[in-house]
Amino acid sequence: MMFFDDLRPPPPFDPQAAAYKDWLHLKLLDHASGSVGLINVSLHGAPDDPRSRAVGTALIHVPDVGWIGNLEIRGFAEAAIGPASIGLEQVALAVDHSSRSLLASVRDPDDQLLVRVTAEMIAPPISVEQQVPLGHGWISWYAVPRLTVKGEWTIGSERSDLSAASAYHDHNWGRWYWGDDLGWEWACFHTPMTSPDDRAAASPPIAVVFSLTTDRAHHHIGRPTVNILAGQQRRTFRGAAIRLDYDGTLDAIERRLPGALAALHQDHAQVRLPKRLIVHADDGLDCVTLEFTGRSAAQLITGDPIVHGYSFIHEIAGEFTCAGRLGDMEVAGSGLGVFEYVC
Amino acid sequence: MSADESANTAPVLKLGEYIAALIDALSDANPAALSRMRRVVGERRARIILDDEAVDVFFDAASLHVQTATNETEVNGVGETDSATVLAMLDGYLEVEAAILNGRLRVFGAPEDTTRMFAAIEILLDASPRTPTLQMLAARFRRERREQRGRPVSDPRRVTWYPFGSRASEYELLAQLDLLPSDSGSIA
Repeated sequence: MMFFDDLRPPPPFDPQAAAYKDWLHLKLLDHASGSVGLINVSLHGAPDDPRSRAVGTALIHVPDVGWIGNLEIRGFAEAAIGPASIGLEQVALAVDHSSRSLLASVRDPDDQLLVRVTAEMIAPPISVEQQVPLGHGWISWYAVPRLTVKGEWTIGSERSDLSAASAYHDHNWGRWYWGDDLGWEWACFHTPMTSPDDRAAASPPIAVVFSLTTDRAHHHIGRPTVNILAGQQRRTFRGAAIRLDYDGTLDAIERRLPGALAALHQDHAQVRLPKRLIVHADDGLDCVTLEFTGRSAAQLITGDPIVHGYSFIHEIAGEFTCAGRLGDMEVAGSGLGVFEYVC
Repeated sequence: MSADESANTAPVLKLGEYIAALIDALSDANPAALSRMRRVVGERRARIILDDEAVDVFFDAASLHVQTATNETEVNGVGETDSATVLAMLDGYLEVEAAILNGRLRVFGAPEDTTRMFAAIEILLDASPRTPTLQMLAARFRRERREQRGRPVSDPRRVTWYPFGSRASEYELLAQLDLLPSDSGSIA
């Protein structure tokens, strides 16, 4: 049977429908410019509740410029919601299963950002259908660690071709309320398809996905998972095979959205975020060490539309290096990454 | 026609009309929050100045009153800014703290009165994620004042000066508490 990953709206009479969440993400890593783009569309709350919101976010971190883009918030009735697509006035994302591709569009003239991208899946998906506990609710996800990119973005008057970029896609869904005692750490890292670095040139392109659910304070953590895709080789490390180290504090959160909630939460203007994340994955057979250094963070403040509560999603853009061994293959490389820290 | 579309064809709202609409929306969606706001501000009067518009606002036992400001009216606090600043804050390009320290948002009044004025605004902001009408009013404000938007550039720089002098002991205390901004070396 063919399995298609579609949005997962609550079935009729779902007692947890009010806590419904559904997200489609696309991360764009432009290795040519060093820019890191986040495009996502999401649904929050029961579909038949007029308070429920559809949110589109398009933010690109451009080195030495900052975070360009914005987010838009709409009612469900104002969004074009398909089986695997959410379209808002400024941000739209659609998964086309027949062509194994994602289509993303951003038209945000006020913030001088235009994006038109088709991303083609070139890696098998990671599917976590089980309901992983998250706060008082749960989360599930489906991720494609690497996609190729065709298209362009225009930032201000600068138009950039994105054929040297790579992309990551995931879909996550579940039942939780923002502001509950929940958090997570998640990251994706890509080396470019072709590397100028001699050592890395001998290694195939690498994509790494890291995920971990936590409580709000990040004191109680779930079982971390690291997926590594190097060429056609794929490894998954879990739990005790992974050691995480954090070092330093990121200087500042450069942009906080939406601004009205940033004004309300002045106490979160300077959250302590790690400057460096070091992931050691070693299961006795394979081992990889990855070091990510954040350069800038944006904070997305999610106010739940149904209950009173807020969570803070920090998107940290930066660079990474990694080295290790998968079976008899040496892997090494450097590239771009995004580390998401939610509290 | 959706509410958003009707807002596109409606006449541009004046400052006083925005304020009245915000309070109406809060009253409809979250009367408990409005009661809290009324308790916080009591019988105080605030003058709100935006661009070239100035209104005085206060509650009496029955309702909110929004009146064109006059020199003859005494108020407990004044908040003054412009549309470009509000838009920059709504779009996350400017933090409230920076707007105050840079003089783009000016607030006058006794400490208790201004604190209560800010608390009233926070009650409104806190209700906004669960109140679609408040979100629509914010969207309308952005649309109607679009031409006054500044350059969309995120500015991570923290304000490097303060309009009032600070003693070295204050900086020492803030440093001990790790509350100084990272570029505090440039604060003079």
